[in-house]
Amino acid sequence: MPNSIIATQDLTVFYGTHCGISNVNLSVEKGEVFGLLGPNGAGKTTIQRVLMDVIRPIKGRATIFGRDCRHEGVAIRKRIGYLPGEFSFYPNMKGSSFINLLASMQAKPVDRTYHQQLYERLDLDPSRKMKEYSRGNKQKIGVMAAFMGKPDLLILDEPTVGLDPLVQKVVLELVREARENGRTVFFSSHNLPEVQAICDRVGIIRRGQLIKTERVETLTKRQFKRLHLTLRRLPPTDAFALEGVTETGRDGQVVMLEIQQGMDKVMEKAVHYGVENIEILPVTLEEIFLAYYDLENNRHDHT
Amino acid sequence: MTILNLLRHELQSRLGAIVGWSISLALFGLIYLSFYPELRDQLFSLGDASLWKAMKFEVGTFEGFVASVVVQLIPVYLGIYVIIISTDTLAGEEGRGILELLLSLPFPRWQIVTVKATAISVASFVILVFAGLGSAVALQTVKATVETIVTPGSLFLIILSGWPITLVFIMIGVFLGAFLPNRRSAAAIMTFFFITSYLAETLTNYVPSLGAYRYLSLFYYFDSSAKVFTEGVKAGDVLTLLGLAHSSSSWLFLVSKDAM
Repeated sequence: MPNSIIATQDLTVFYGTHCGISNVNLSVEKGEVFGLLGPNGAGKTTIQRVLMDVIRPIKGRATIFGRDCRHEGVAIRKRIGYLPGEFSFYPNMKGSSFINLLASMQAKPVDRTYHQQLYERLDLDPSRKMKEYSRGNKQKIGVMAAFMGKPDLLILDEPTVGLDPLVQKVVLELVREARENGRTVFFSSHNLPEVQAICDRVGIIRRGQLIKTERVETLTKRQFKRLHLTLRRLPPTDAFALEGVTETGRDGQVVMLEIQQGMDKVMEKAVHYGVENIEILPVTLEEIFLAYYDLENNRHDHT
Repeated sequence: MTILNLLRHELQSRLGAIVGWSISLALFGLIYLSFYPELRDQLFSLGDASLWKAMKFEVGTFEGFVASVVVQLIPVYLGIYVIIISTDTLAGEEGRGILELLLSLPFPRWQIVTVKATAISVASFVILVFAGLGSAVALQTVKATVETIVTPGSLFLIILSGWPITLVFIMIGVFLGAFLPNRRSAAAIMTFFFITSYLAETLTNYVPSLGAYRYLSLFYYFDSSAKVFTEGVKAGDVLTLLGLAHSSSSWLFLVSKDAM
């Protein structure tokens, strides 16, 4: 994959006897925002730590900018901004000293104007000591450290965790700006809306295995709503047999539906049976993803 | 872009410990030597006690007292700091999430490890300098009341001769921190090794049949007997310890290039 910024082949990591990731193959193209989505412990952080050469795989290979992560790490890290999932620094060090220390060790000089802008946009007070910062403020420091060098590639492990909604928005804006400037972003998350909001492509990882990668808009088209209708009279079993609607179960007076299209028709039908309550339940991107691939697999099986 | 900024920061972050340990060890020598005139008669009566000899304490003479208490114990106490800090510098910082940020910087691992080992080595040297100065000042104040061949200058230099053995323990501690999965196991092994090495030297000194194993103790290469004031520090011992420190650091760099 000549244009890939990140490429992995059969990447496998074990922690003792526990498998961290298994045969992960992925590629991230130049200028795209790639989201790695999965629950805690799925292997998102492991992939990112292998890319940063913090841990090393027992099998497989990872390259960034066409260079081997293990043997050419220094050259690679000159062009990367990295936000680890959990990080800390010397507790008595001031935020500004920490940022300045990291800035002094960047491969290229940090743009002081941009540096100052980041402080303001993230609403960060750098005069306090690291031990005095809350989780959210530490995260802002980490975000700032990752972005300040305007690197060609940003590797961000759950960048919005611990941040208030306004700052989360700022971080997503920074990611968008990076993409607009032709830079590449590889980030992990378990937050569906932020992945939908900024990612070009997404990879779902479960139990250390990358199930598949897909463009976000393709998945979003497949998005469905999960509806629980509490009705006064129980309808016949085929009452909601409509195109794009699947009845997934019943529990007393509650009819459970998954709806991809035709919400208006469902409502028309429902009023005949007396609607007592309507509950729309959240659907995770992982569920959409899995539903999508179940559908794809079934289609392939039939053909 | 310079790794020296990291070295400066590492030293700054250890400033509190350097000041604290420097004052403590300087006071240690200062207090023990200052009170010698009052303790002299009691110590003289203990001079032949075999238990003291077994523990490498020669308290019958002033030179023996200085060597046993100040020269011998300052590196032992400094060893406590070295065990804490050397095993913490990689294993502890990895556990706290500090190391991951450092490893993401555009420097080879061996440079980061070198900076950390250098910072601890410099810190321990500064502490020894202050400890030496404290003892030298104390000797100067009591010199009029005791008859001795020990001068403040020679005492200062002999205390500094404790640095090579400290250096070996630093390198082994950092190596264990890089090699073992967590700080606790690194500190436990390091403590065991340190105590065993110290006790082995005293035990082999006392038990003739164990004499052949004396060379295995690092403390064998650090002369803390009264003879050191007449014969001086042996260059061979210093070179052996520096060689061991170098070997340990080579292993450390090998590990840091690959396994850490």
